[in-house]
Amino acid sequence: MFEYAMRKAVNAIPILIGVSILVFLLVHLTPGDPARLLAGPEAYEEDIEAIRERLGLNDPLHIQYWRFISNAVRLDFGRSFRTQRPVMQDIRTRFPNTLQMAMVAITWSVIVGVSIGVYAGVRPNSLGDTVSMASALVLVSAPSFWKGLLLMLVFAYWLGWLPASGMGESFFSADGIKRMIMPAITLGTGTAAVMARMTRSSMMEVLNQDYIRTARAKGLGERNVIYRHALKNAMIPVVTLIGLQLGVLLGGAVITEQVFAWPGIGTLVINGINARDYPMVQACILLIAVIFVVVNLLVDLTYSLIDPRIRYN
Amino acid sequence: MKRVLSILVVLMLMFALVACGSPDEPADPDNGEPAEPAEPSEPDDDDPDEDAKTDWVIALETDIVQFDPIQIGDATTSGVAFQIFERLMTRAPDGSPIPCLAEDWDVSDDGLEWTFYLRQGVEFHDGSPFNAEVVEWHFTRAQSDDSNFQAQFSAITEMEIVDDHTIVFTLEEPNAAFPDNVIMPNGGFIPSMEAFESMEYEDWAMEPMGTGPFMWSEWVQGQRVELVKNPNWWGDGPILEKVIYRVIPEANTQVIELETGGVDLITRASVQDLERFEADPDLNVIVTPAYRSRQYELNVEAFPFGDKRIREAVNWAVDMPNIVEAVASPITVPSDSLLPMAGWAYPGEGVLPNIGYDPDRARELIEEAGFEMVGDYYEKDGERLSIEIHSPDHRYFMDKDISEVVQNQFAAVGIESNVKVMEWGAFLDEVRAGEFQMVFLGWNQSGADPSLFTDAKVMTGGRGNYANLSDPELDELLREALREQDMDVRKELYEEAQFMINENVWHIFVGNESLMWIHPANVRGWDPGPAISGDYTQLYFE
Repeated sequence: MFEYAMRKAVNAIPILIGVSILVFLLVHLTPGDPARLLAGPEAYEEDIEAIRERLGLNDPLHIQYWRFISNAVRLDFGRSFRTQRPVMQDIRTRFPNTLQMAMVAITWSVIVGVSIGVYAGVRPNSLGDTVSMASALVLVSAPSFWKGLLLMLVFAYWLGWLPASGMGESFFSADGIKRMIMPAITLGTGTAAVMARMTRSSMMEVLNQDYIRTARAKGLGERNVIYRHALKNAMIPVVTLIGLQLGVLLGGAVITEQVFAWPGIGTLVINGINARDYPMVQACILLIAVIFVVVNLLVDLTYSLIDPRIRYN
Repeated sequence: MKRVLSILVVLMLMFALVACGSPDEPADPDNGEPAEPAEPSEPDDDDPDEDAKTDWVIALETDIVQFDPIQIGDATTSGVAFQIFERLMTRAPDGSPIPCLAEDWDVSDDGLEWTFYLRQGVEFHDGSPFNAEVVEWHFTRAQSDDSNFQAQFSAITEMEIVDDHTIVFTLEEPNAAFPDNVIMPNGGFIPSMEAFESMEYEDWAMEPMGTGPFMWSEWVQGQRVELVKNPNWWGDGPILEKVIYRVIPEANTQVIELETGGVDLITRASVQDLERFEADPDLNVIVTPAYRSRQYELNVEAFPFGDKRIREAVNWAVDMPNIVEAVASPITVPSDSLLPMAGWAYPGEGVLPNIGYDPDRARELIEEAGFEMVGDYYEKDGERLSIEIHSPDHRYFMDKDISEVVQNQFAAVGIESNVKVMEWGAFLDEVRAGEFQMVFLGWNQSGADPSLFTDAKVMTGGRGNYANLSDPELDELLREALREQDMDVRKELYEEAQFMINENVWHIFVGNESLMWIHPANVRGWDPGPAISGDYTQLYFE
């Protein structure tokens, strides 16, 4: 298993180099001049040129790339054009906030999503199944922007139960938990809905298998059949999905973060893109790529825990 | 069952539409130009209540960046820096320079030497003294390669310290707008030299130390900036204990935070929200004129605007005052000049030659220019009279919406046009390169000196003259107006310049964009005017 993990990690290197080239080219080829955006539209042309020179933007692209990648391997992503601070410093401050929100969101959405999926999968085409699957469809289709504002309108504005936005000082305080509720719900509903639909179809497929009939024929209780025999086997595609969703939540919580003024990595990327803050965007995108690779590796390794037939030797 | 479900879905979608409304139109207080503080006003009769709130919470769109004054380029940081740092002079409500760190100043007869008499006994937040040495050090840095404002201060050729509290600036040539350069926020902010020398640069830039009414206290990245009262401030006040900035990027969230008491001040809102706030007795809406002009600039080097008749025709073709009234009122106010109406050089409504709304006249001029109507649009030698209108979206108040109405009115007289909306960075690239026919642009300044507008926008080679406009006669007039020290003469010269600008028909003037402030109704002692807003020293809650 360790060997397998190592092999996967080595395989990730070319992927990350590819991502680094792609993101480097994308940010540099996007129209928009960082120096001009930094100086503001009312700036003097001489001042803009001086900033461009200072940021090293007048060097040929391949030199700029080499500078970026040779520092990146030492985990030095340079200084932000906007703040002049090392970008890793900002990422280290912001990433835990995103991680916190994503973990809470994935936890509740897996619990709720899988439970609903099992419930619906066991009773296909019943009223409960139709209602839960229709609600899942609505929730997965509703944009986070809308869900977030709607929650805010109801719980902050009308009922006044929760603070509208911002993050608490600590997650383990009443204020911290209160402020976590709406962002985590907004972020997790889509995932919960996808999870429910996936679990349902996976369950329905497994429940038609011969070994389930055998289990029932042996006289096992229905509960035992569903949870010990069916669900475990139905989990493989669901675990894959959890992995993918976790990556999406960590890298794609941008809108939820914007709506709830949550100081995470998404806001960092958005501000970086708007200001053409190349070092910041490059570092964040690479980080998100690394997360995807790591999460996928973990998912691969989890398979063998769920299904003993899968071995990594 | 299916029917019930579908009704449910439809209801939810309708609810969505109603609840969200349009997430539109922030009156984007953009650019690195915050407004300016007023002369401290007398508090109202009733003294601040002892139980009243003492912290003033302001919503920010983005987080602060860094506080090295010579590199501040964003409005957010600039606004916060405004509480911490001070400049040699500040502005009176009418925009004219008044004493701040300099108690007084005079200028030599030839207009070359400016002597500043510095306020005595002023200390920075770290306890170090403010004196002529600090001023010299700061302006030397502001002229260095590290500065984003090198060009702004390049006119200073020499600085001479006469004594601890007197310093003489020598200029390359007479410049009546020199105080406006010294006063410009960011570059003009004077930080502690001692702190600069004793701290690591990075720490110094993130723990600003100035002489202002509020002191740096805490920053939680991406969330909050806290400033506390400077008890040793040389002026009168402040009454507040704290000024807190909260980072809330989303405009709708800011509105809900204001209405639920999470913040005390927001500076952008949609037209619909403004109407609602105005009806709310618990909230105050203040709309103040600002030095922010908005206009379409016509590229005289691009088809079809080389022909003055076409420039006139597009002006006759749009009913701009009514468009602005219908789409962007009350934030944008129609104007007929490049210069802001709140400034001292604007001669008043109806004085300047201005083109009205007359579609028939527009058609006549187009035909005079040799175009013929073919189908719905004019053509000349097989080329259609077609205009691409470059427009930003949400950069200026209702920018894209105004452009769309202009497009319709163009069509009504036979001019084909399309609105090209681009992301701001990409937009600036194309506009800067002169790759446009007609573009919606604004020009924001913190000061009222007309040269800040004219010399940048219409002087040959001006830094904001993207349309490559050039009129040697006008250039000469503007140079003369900048050298002139007598204010009455300057006013006349700038009036003449405005006549010339309007007669060249280089623009379709849109209007002046105001600033807006929405806060609880129990706020007292704060009166944001055209050149002011950042002065919270007399502010208190009742």
